[in-house]
Amino acid sequence: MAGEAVNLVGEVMKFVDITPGTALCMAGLGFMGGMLSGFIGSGGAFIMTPGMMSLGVPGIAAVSTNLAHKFGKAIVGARKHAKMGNVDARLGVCMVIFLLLGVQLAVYLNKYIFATLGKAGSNLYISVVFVILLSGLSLFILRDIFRPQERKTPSQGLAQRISSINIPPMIYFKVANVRVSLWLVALIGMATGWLAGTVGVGGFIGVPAMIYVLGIPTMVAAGTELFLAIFSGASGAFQYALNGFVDIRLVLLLYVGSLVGLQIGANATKMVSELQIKFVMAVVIGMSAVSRGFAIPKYLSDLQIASFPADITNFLDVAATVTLYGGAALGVLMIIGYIIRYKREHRVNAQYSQSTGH
Amino acid sequence: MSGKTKPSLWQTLLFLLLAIGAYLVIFFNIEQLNQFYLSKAILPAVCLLGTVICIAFLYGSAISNLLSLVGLESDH
Repeated sequence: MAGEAVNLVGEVMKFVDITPGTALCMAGLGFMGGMLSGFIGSGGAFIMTPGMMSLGVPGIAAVSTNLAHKFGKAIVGARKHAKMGNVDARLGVCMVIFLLLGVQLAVYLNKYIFATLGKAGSNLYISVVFVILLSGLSLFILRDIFRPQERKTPSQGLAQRISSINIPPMIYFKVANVRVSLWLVALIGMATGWLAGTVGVGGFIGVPAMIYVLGIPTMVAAGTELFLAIFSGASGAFQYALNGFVDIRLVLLLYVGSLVGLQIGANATKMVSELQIKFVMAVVIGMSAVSRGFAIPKYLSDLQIASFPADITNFLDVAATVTLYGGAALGVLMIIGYIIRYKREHRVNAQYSQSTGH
Repeated sequence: MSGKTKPSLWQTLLFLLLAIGAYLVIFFNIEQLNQFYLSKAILPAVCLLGTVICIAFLYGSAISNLLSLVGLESDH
């Protein structure tokens, strides 16, 4: 199928040609992203967006396709969480206003960069945001894993200190059972929206921020974040669709793998410890950050900001692809390994119980 | 794993067939559909998001039911 040409100020953007190989890669990318998303709780886009970029999809089209993909997925997920009482609608409504402002800002910035610096400039901007955020997050999680047990303080500590900051108006959220300043909610909403509009996902910052900064229970944070994802996904995807950036073929190919992976990943969380979840998260996010770091010299060369020998940029480009897919594949293999180990132990325990008559 | 009732085979097959049908219709008419979806107007953008919701619902329900039938149900 031929790629579609989209007219945009300053550049004619061409969507990726879909060959059977590309289609398979997209479905595989969706499966890996979906499984990691189901297992880690949010994210998946930090694999899918760079993955699409490595397949030749322009960064802005990858982000907008991912937003449209996330939108449909969030509706299904938020409905289930709402039934379980995990959505704080009041918090959601307060955050959504600022979230949409953040999305608007991100879409405006992305469009402006694409129009002035072209595809390479847009890719560079998205990659730099990815590297800074993902490497910081990966280091934070690794520090949390390897910190001695006795030095670990409850996550409520920071939240309690922050909730004691009394900047009116203070609002009480019943489902989350917290009383915090509207300004903090606004700040987190805006940051989540900006991230969602810039890299296609904001949940991997929004959920930890709600837990660690506002002191909201994990399940309520995850449910409310999915509720917010409907609005950030809809708003971002709609804005990008109005500019002709959403490729429906890519969205549908992602769904082929992601909805299967999502269910398997979510199930696997019942079979592992919290430490194992954090370890997979740190490995995948860290390798994704390294991958985007490898891709930066090529974008700098394309923009003529810095010059690198062609051999080196080509090598780094291959290294970026290998690291990205390698990290995602490693994460998926770790999850499958945990599932197999759990099933085997479960079977052995069942056999033992049967043989001892308990 | 949970006490929920399993979906019927017919329901699963119905969702699966509808999802496959929707995929085939979209991919066989992608040139015309993209001409409409990429025309940068409000109605095509709304229709594009509507298509995404429909596919997510049909395919998501089919996969969820299928995994429930093979004993891999999820609350996600």
